[in-house]
Amino acid sequence: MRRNILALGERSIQGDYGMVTAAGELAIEESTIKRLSAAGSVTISHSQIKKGKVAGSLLAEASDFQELKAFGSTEIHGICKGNLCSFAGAIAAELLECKVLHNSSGSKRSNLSNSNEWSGAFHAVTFESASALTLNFEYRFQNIISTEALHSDHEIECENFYSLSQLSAVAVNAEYIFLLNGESIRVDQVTGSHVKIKNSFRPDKKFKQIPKYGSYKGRNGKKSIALIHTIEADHIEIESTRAQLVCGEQVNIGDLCIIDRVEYRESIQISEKAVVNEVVKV
Amino acid sequence: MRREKIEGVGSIYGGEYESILVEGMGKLKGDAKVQTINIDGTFKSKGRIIAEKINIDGFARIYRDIKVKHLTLEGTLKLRRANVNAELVHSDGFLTSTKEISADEILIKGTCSVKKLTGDQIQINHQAPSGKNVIHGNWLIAPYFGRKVSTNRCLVDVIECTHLKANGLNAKIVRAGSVRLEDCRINRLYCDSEPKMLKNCKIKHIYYGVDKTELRQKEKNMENVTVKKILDMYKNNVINGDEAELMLKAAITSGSTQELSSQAEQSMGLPWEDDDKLHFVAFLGRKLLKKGEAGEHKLEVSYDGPAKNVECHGSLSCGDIMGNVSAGQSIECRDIGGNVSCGGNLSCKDIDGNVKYSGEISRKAGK
Repeated sequence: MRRNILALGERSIQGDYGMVTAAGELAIEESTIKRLSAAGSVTISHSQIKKGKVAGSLLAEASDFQELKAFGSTEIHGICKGNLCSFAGAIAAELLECKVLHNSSGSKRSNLSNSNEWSGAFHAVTFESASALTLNFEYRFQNIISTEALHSDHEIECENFYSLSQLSAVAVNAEYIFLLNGESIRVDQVTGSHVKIKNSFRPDKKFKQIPKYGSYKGRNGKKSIALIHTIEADHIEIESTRAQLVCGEQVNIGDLCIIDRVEYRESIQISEKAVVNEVVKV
Repeated sequence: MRREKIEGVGSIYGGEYESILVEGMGKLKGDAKVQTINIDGTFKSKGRIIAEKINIDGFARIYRDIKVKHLTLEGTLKLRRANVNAELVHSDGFLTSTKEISADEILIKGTCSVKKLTGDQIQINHQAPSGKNVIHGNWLIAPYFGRKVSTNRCLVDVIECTHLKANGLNAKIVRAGSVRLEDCRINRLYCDSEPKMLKNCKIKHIYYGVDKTELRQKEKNMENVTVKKILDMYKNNVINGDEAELMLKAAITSGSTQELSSQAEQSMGLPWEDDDKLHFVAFLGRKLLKKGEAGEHKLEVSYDGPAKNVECHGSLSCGDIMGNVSAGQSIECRDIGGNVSCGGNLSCKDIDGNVKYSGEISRKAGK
């Protein structure tokens, strides 16, 4: 029979538990826990947690989490797996594999955004970033959804990339790229199959199918112009973008675009509110 | 160190090896540091490889980065989302890559389809595949390799090198110090010296010997044309005043790669908020020097004028400060309206708040 535990102070547990509530120092080893709520320092090794909430410092080793929300500093040793993992604060992981990985900003009152330093290796179907982050760790994400400032010194690579806030990167390479024109978009090279840079975002069928943690409603961007050096894709649809070279098969240049050179293969549409200095059919 | 040999079907979990020999079907599951890798059968790598020598006679599919001194290819190598960093790459077989291959010397004699080639000396001599390297089923090739593949030409998106010698190359952009081309199709060729083109070359745009001032002048001219077009649109009521202002601001931004990068770094990389404080800092190249870092100790900033709050990572010399002041080293100023935190000596007039200092404190004469 599953037991419930309320632990205060220093405690180590091992076995099968229903609900574990702890404050202080808690060590969990080779256990199965249905629900864990802990504040303080928590060490979990070779265990399975169905639903976990940890505030403080978490050290996890070779464990599985159905749902994990961690606030504070997190360290992951070995390979940890999860379905939904949300972290607010610093995290260092040897390897974390999960379906949805969420970079949380914490509660509205807490100001953890400056300490969101991620390091190590992360694999996920979807990575959601709801807090300012620099992508300077090893990752393998199928989908990236960023609603806060995202910075990368390297190429950002995935299948579907949605940036709904600030973005600064050397390059973005994805099958589908959506950039919402917001406070600041600065990218050297955008390469993909479909590239959209728009002033408003409405979740489409493709976006709705992506597994995710947050709920996303339509939103409008701010009045600004995205600065991108080169855009290369099969289908390009852009608004309010300053680019030196746009190269694609089907190109749609929308309002307030300033493009030095457009190379297209099949079709091109240019808004009367756009400035294009050179158009070439390849 | 271990020696790993796969003759049938097997997996390698990663680690340090003296040699890996795959004669059947092998898979590398983790990162590996190896002296020599020989592949005669089929090989799939999901781990990062650091090696002295890699010889591929069979068929290899690589999904993580490779760092190798000598890479020799006589079979087929498919690199998907993996960079290659090498000293020498010698390919007589069939090579595809969706990312970058960089090496001091790259010698391609077979067929290739690569996104980016970077190196000092690059020699491409296309030869149609024969024997075991022939791949059938054209409609399947592009989705499988992640790139278009041609048996008639070597396809490369971007080449950047000092010396390029190519025959049977199809490239989008080539940037090189010197080039010697034969039977090549290139969209844009940037070359420091006059390119040597032997026969049957089609180059859409050639830019050679263009000095930087000329390029800057071209950019300036382009900028002027753009500004004129925006103003015309505004005059013709196509766009309103706000839109014109926004477009003009963007048009003046040159949009060059380096400028974009530095602007991006400046807007995103600074470790403080837009807090209305006057920050005195020093950059070493693009790196921001912080408190206590080597080379920062001689930083001295002088500012003449009133300021709200001041934060300085070196010595500070300024006039009145209405708010708080914090400096890593000494402070010399007039009146301070708030608190003071000082890593060295402090010399000022009146202070309204609290004082924290490490050196000596002296009060300046006068009102």
